[in-house]
Amino acid sequence: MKKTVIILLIILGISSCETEDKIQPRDIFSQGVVESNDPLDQYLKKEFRDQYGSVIIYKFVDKFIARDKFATPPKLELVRPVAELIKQAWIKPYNVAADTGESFMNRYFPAEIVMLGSPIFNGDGTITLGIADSGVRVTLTQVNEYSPGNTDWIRQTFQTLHHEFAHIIDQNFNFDDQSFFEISGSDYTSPGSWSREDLNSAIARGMVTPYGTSAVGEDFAEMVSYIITTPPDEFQAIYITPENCRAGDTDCVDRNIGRQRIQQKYNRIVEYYKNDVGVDILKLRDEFLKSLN
Amino acid sequence: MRNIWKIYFVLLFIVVSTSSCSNDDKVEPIFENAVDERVQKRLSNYKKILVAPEFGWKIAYQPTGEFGVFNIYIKFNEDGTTIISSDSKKGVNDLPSKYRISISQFPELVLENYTVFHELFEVNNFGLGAEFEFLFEDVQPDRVLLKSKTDAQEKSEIILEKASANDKINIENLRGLDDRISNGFGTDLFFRSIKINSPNGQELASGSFSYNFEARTATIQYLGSQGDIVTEVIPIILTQEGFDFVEPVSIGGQTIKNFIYDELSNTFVSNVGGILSTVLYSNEPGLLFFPESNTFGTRAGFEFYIYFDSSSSNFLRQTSQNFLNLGLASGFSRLDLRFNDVRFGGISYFEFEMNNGDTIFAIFEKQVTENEKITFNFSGIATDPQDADFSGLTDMFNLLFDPNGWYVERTNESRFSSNPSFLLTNTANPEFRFSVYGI
Repeated sequence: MKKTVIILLIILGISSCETEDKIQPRDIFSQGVVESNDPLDQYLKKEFRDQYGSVIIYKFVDKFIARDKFATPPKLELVRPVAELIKQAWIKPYNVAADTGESFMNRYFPAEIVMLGSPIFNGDGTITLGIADSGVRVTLTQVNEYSPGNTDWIRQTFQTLHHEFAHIIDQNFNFDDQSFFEISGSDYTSPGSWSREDLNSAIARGMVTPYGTSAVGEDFAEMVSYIITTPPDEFQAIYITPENCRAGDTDCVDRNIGRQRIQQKYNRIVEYYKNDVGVDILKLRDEFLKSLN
Repeated sequence: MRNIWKIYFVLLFIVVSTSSCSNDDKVEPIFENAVDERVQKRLSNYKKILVAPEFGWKIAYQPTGEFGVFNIYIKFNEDGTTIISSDSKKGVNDLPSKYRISISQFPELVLENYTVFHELFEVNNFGLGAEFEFLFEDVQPDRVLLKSKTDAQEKSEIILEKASANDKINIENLRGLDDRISNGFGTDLFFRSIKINSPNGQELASGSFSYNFEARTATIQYLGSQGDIVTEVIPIILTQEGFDFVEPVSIGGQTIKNFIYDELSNTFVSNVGGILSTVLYSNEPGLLFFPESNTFGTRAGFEFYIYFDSSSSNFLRQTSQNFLNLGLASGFSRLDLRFNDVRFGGISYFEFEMNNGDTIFAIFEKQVTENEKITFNFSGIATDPQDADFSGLTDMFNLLFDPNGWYVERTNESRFSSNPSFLLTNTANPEFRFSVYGI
């Protein structure tokens, strides 16, 4: 009986259907899409896709924005200048500061950069300025605010980009969160309450911005971003050099204690970037600041 | 028993082997092509229709019935780019954009870069209902009906009509014409009214008139037949001659729709059988109805307000130049307005922060004329230091304590969403106005 069943199944298996010879292997990546001849697309292909394997997405695609949020796309005329700025103020400084030179960004530059013209409006009155997704995509907002020489926009935008890229660095090189916890463990704010902080209270907590108080990962990314984008004398004056406190001014004393913690974290980050990431972050900062001029 | 099983399996084998693989080519296909091919064919047909018109498409875009009409011209090019002209904001956002005809759940048209459509999408905190991602609803060679992709409930519509040779230039000629409808255009007179007069000059009805530039609506307030205040927010459309109400509106028994601009008198006039409806500026409000005067300075509103001069980022720009200049000449940069201050026995006062560091308190008693105005009746002075000189404030005192009083209107100038702002307009000299926000 068993033999009979097995024989029948084999026969069925052999004889089942005949059309498989029509299925042919095909390239699943080409999908028959014709390469664009548009000069902007050609530029982005040459400068980003061919060099860094990165696609600059400047045409609006709603899947990059959550369904309950709003945003608008960039003005076409601003895409190339902002793309050039990305090369100048993000890629080039890393190329100079990385031990491995250009191959660092060849490997770690995000696979996708999404450009949006507006901020992302969250529907609750707040806005989002940037997003880093799983180490592969960074969303750059407010492109429509860009104009040549608008250094405030450039500084703020690249603060966001360097913040988001710090998360990508962290995801690839596993920053030791514990070392920040040892410095500021009890100073982080409870969920959702960071927006009630101001610069002074953030400094007293040992962080460079209110947002940095929200979680150790954000503290790390904000520190990295501010180290890179703040002129060193300004960073020193705001975040490191102690104030002369009047007698009884406990807030002032707290800020100075916070500054000591910022100094410790600063040292930790410089060391981490040097030894673990292979990037001289102070050289990176100098190159970034040079790129603004 | 074993033999019976054998027979069953042999029969099963025969049935399966003869019936399982029917000859596919004997089944008549429902469609001639595969799904992907049919979708691509439909999308390419849509593109063919959008690209075809030599003179592109014209659109009278009224995202929802609550807002006015924006005239837009769009030409879809074969290479995936667009040419756009509109009458919104002098065409500042009539920018080139790429477009995409693709499919997500349904076939869609997406304007992929920032244009006037995106500008309108952003207006009023995305409240205008405009769209830049559309679903194809009905596609004909001379008319295309699209619906919003993202509207959650009722999806707004947009209709593309095949344009003629002059439509583009006609729309471009409308650019900037809404300046002349804008409040305060070409005049120093503050109040704007609509007056409806019979052929013999008798006033049949009157009310206040104002224009919302971004929503492209007119707001008319008038006294209803029951003595109530009627507020009409009316969508408008620009014309070369003036403007039209999108739908006719009845005010005081008169139906009005089309207005023609008269440059000489800076008025808009509608003439229906000799009955003239005129939108004009004057020194008096079109309707004496300022209900904010009732609650201004009470616990129901706010009891503490601040005015900053133009040296501050908190300066509110509806303040008139005359008031600003007088304040600057008087030597103060900040003026607090406190009502019922419990710290000082419930008194109300103006607190001037003088540029020399002195503080001057001008105490008053509030008098409200219901639904009309508020008057500050002067009752005393206090200074810090005691010997502070306040002689430079004489003209400002005369203005603030003018017995004719102040109209109070709520505005949207405050930088803080939970703190309201108000404009106070001197009833005798409306060119003196100052704007404050609540604290």
